[in-house]
Amino acid sequence: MNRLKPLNKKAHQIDQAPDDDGVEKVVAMSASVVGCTTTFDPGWELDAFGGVAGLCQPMEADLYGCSDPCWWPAQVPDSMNSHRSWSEGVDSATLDWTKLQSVFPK
Amino acid sequence: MAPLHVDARSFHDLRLPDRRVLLHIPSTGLFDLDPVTAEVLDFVRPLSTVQADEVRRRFDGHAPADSVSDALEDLRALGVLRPDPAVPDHGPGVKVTEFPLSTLVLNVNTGCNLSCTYCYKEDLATPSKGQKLALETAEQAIELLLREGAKRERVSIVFFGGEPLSNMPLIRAATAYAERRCAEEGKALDLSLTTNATLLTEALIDWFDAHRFGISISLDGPQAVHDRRRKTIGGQGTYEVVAAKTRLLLSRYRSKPVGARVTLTAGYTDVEAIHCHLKDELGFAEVGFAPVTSNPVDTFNLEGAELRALFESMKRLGRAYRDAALRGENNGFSNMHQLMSDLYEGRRKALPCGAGLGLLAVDHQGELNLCHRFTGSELPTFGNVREGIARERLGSFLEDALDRSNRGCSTCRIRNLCAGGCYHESYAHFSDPHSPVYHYCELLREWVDFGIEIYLELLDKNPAFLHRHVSHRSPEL
Amino acid sequence: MKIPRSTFPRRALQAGVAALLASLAAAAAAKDYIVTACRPGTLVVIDAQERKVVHAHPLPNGSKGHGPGAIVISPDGKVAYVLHNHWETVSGIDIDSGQEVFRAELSAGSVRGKSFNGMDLSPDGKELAVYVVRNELLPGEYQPRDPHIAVFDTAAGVKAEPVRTLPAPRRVGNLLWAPSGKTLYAFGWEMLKLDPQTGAVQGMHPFRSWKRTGFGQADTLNFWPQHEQSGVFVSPYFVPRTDRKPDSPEAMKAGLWTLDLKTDKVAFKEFENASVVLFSSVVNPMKQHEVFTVFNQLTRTDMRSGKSERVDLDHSFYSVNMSSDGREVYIGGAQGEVAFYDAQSLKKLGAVQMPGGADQSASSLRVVRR
Repeated sequence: MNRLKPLNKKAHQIDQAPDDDGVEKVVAMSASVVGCTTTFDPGWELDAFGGVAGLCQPMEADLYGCSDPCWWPAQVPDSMNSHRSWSEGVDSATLDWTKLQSVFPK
Repeated sequence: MAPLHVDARSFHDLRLPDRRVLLHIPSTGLFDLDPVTAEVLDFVRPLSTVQADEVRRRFDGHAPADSVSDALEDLRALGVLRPDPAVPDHGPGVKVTEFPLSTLVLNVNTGCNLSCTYCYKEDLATPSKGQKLALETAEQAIELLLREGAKRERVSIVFFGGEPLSNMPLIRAATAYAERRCAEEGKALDLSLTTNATLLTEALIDWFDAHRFGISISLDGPQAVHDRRRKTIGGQGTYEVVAAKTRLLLSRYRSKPVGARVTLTAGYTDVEAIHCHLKDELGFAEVGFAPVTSNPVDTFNLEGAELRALFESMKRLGRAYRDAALRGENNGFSNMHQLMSDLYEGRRKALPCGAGLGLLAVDHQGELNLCHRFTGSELPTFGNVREGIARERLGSFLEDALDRSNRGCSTCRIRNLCAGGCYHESYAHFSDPHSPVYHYCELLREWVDFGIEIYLELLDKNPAFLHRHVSHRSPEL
Repeated sequence: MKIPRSTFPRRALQAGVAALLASLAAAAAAKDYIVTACRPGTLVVIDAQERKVVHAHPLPNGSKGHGPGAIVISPDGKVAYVLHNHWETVSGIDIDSGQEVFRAELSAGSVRGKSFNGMDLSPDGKELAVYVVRNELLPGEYQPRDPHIAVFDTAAGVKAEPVRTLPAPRRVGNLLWAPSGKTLYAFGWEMLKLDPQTGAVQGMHPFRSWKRTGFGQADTLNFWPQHEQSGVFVSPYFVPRTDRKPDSPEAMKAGLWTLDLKTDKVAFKEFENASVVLFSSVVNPMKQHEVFTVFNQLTRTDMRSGKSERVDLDHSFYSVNMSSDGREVYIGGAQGEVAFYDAQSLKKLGAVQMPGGADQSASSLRVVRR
């Protein structure tokens, strides 16, 4: 804050939040490519070039190749360790992805 | 140049004699409004959109250009000025699927040995005719608490009723069970009890002390006040007994501070006098006040001029709190103390309380209720201790509570401090637990303004009081 | 049965000639087989000439919910070693019979072990080196343990235990055993050269610490083992140019990084501005300056000139390998298809489906002549 003076803990937190410059530095580091998405690896949303042509075609082709090694574990259940049978019986993602179920914490 | 949209619902500014203060509503951040930013705010607030150039032109000549730019930037950082139109606050729109319980209330007996005229309990009975909680049900409830509260390092069990002292065997057995299980699970355990005190004995007091119970005594004030409402079944006032038992308790109790719980009703609104009697004369560590729950029999209800008088009395007591705080002392007015804590931290509440989310109450049938006030009421329960929480229904209830659309709350300046008010109060008054407490809204807004003023005074003149006495008081602790 | 003395020598001679003829015929019939794996845990052997699946062997006692990973074939072409079972087990499967002749569990007791595709055989096939990531699962916490390279005796059967372990740094992908047998390459942050007996670091080729004026930090996916035919490891990489404006098309270059496992020589070439994703590559065994790279396109690059040709594929492929005569390119991985392309014209020649159309995901694509 330039002029507004914080008067309680929450206001102090807002005051100390990173400014735009700080945020931009984070974005700049994700420019390199490894595998099919940037090293920041969001997953499926965008390819390294900002479009979708560079993603796996069709995108289901990428599902197990990426979820098996936990490439972007946030998008799907962790089949490496926590949900080891999540995709059992669904051997072709392109044909049968609709059979995949959600998982819930115990 | 793109126009900026003004979000008039994102802030509340307080004009005090010597300063202006901004409450940032989405965060409960409190900011000092310097004169330039204050003027810029006054200029933009009636507009729906404004151009940055427009603002600069308006202040050209009587405020430095970079001060105006800085002010605009600050208002943008807070979202008061924004690149797109303001979105109404309809709540966080999250799905509730987890119920991380920290607290369980066990209704050990619907029976009570008193017959306080205003009691909200729909299922009240005499102690012998009351429905008692079975140990097996209590144990199942404790297991549910340990399961749902698996991530918690401490859990709390509260014994309630009716009058909890009328079922000591259950309290003893449940305590033993809970202590053993919490030790096994590596969790700390807090036990507490609210009682009318009439059945206390030395032995009982010492037993509670040994198990570090937090005790709250229901006492409405000096004899004339207390005896008007808090009577025996036979119609006798209970002050003499309660006061005697209180003195007995306070003379030997060491493990935790003891609090008084006051219910304010029509005709008895001198809050300062009540506080003085309970704190200074009887010696309670703290005193909490609540207006009586809305009652279909409106003899008790506080309304109109009387409610206003009560409120003024609360403010006077609040000023007494301030006076004590400036001397570095806590005068034990817990309503005020809690407000200071909320403002100091900048707490932002999406729900009015932890009912259903961090706290559930168990009745004698093992049914799960939102809180202790609802046991025995007509409100449907949310599962039971055998089958567990009815997750979809409880999640749905809380999602409804979080949804501010179609409620006055969505534009209210204290929506993140009040969050709609007590479910039970709304249920009692409007037959709808989700209704905002419309009958209290104006007063609550005034109460928060009052609190901010006092808070600022303390921040200015004795900030050490806030650090020492206020900053440790968290609902989580 | 009594054999008359007079007929015995003639029958023996006939048997001997027949045997000789049979073995000559077998040598003449040696052909390329493509070995890969797919869900739910199946080793798939494809006759590359017939373009037909000839074996689909289940990997025993493994996960049905997680795809197999690295595959390494014994030098005699008989056994395929497969990383599977949430990458916690290596099974050696006889390619013809499907029998499990070797099995090593990477986990032991409370220590869970997994390999992230780092696996290779010694040139004589007697030892199998596996890079193991280890974590100890305690009642209230997980504790990371140091990773190591576990070396197994391939003759140890189905309860194989490591004969030795080599210390190794974190984040190792490929393990590559040099044909001399004296160096085990471990491609992690850098391409390390390790002594396969002791794990001592003999040297390294820089990758993370690879510095050139005008270039930033290069990035590659060190995962795919496709070097068995050429003896040259190759991986596509991307590298930013710090001497170009950030919005210039030249700001990010795509290249190929190679390591000749015989000569220990590194060669690399930035051949285009980064424009498509390049996932894995293979060096043509017959023309070592020619590299094929795959993902959504098949690209052929001449490492000398940097010129390349490219065709679009009808879906994504992760892995690429070649026929031993360098005339056909095989692509696989991701979905459930292995496709055949002409190395010269880049025309599609045909395809083979995995059993049930099951996905290959991250399984290797290897070629063996047998």
